Amino acid sequence: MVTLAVNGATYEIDAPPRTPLLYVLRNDLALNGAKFGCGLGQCGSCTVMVDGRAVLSCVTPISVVENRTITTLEGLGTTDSPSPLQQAFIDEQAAQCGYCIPGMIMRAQALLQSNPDPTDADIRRALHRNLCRCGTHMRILRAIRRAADGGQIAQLQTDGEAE
Amino acid sequence: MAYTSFWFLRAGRHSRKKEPMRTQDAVFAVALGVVVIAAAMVAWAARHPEIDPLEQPPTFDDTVVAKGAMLASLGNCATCHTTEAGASFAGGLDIPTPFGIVRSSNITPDESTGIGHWPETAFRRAMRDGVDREGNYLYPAFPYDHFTLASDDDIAAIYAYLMSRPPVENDVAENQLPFPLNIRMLVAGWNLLYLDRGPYQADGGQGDQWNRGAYLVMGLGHCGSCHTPRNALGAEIEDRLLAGGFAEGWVGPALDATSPAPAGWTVAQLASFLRDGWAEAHGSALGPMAEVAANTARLPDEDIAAMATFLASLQPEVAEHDIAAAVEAAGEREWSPLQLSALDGADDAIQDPGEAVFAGACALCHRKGGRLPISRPVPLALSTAVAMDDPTNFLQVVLHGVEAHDPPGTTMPAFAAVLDDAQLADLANYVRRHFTDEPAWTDLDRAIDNARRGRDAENLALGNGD
Repeated sequence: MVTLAVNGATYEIDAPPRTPLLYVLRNDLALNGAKFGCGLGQCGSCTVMVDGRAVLSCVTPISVVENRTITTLEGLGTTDSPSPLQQAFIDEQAAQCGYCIPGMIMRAQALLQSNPDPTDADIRRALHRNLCRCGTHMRILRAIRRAADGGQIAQLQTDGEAE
Repeated sequence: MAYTSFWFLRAGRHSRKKEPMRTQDAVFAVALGVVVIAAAMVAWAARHPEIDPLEQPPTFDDTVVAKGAMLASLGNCATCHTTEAGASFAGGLDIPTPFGIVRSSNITPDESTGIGHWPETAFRRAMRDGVDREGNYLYPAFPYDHFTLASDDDIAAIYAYLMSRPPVENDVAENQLPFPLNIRMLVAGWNLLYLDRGPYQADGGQGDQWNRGAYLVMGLGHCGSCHTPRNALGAEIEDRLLAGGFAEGWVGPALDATSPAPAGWTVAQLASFLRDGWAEAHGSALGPMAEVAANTARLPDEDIAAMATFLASLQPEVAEHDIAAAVEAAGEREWSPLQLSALDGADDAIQDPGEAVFAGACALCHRKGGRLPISRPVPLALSTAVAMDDPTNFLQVVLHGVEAHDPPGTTMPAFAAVLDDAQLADLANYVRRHFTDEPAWTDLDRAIDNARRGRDAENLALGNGD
């Protein structure tokens, strides 16, 4: 049994310790925000936050994140009450197929929590490992800019640490 | 990301604790004082006159400029003379040294802030003697101790290339060196002791190809800057050529007979590494070497072959069939897909915590038939980073991952935010034990602490775990 703290709740997981965090999030906890893209730590669609930093959940065994603070897309907001960053993605219509977007949002969330006023270069550098095949990169960048400029950073930080 | 291809980050490993001065330090201080005084005298006697500025901008032959581009690439000039956000060759990169910060100069042909006024004679003097046009000594962060070996023709070609780049106005701030090191004349003493002035003199006992290789490796290639150990005054130790050095938080592995590479280096393996940044029996060029290999990739085949010939001559000869045998033996230690699937459903199949991390985080790719052939992982039993006595390079790779630059992208994800120090140490111990017959790494905690600094701080600021 491995104990995981996800979005403020604690779960006892009956799975081998080497199981990727992504599988447990999706299959055991029905948290389907994080996506399986490549399964090899190459594309970023599985990005979640561990202790406030963006990590790739597909290459993260659950044994190493036991008792650490895991935040997924579902931990930011809901359909009825999206977080400021999620709202910014909606406002900018930053999703086309949308598959990469949860990973993009989680990495951007980690960026804004560490650096509430990033330069455009910071945003690009932070997100450069996350891939989007549809080509909505410019809208994604605008969405993050919008969230950063929205003066809601303190709220973002509170949301990110909510548990 | 601009890399500085020097040894200076070594400072971070040794300068953390203030300790009372020991006897040998006192002796060293006295010796340093003597050197300083001697240096001042020598400097006075041998001071260099200003060379008159150019009156007309020179013009160059295209073929000479093209040759200069290739040679400037071999010399990694842009690496230190360009900042991440700045224009190529406009300088201003902070190069941390144990003595303070040295800032790279603007080597674009801008007349007020670059080398636009420099005639070729001044450029040649800088490369060969480490003195600028005005006659000031340059600091040996600029590897003129290597560039001095370059031929007049090659220096002229690099001059032509640099002088035909777009001029960029960028007034680089002063170095941050404490007194008395901020007195440039003192470098004259260093030069007296350590500058073996060129150009390169061929070794008559060796063939043309070997000599060409030695010329490129020891001259413009300045391989020794990272791969040769240095003394207390930062000079490469003459009789330990390419015996292993340190740069930018990475170990530059020994390239001589003490090379820790499990499979050894043949001419073919070296040529592949310098051409493609990858060799079948060694894997990928990592860390600062990735950019170096991207630069050597621009060299013509005959120069690659020459460098490989010279470098291979520093090591005991290895036969190609021995390489093949080493590759095969290394494959025996690889995880098999069966080994992985046998773990499914067996909750406590793995007792060793490091092995558990390896199974979950590494074995997807680092196993027989691993799932990411595009990144060309070789069996870890062939990895110099795993085989060498110092765990630094292994830790750098695991913590910060591997990025391809051309085209850019991830080839190995980073695990800095995923693994805490204890988990990383468990993993390191497991990998070392499983993939080598070498003794366990010692002093892992300190090595982990060192490897986390720098890059990790930058990533923390971006919220990135990788």
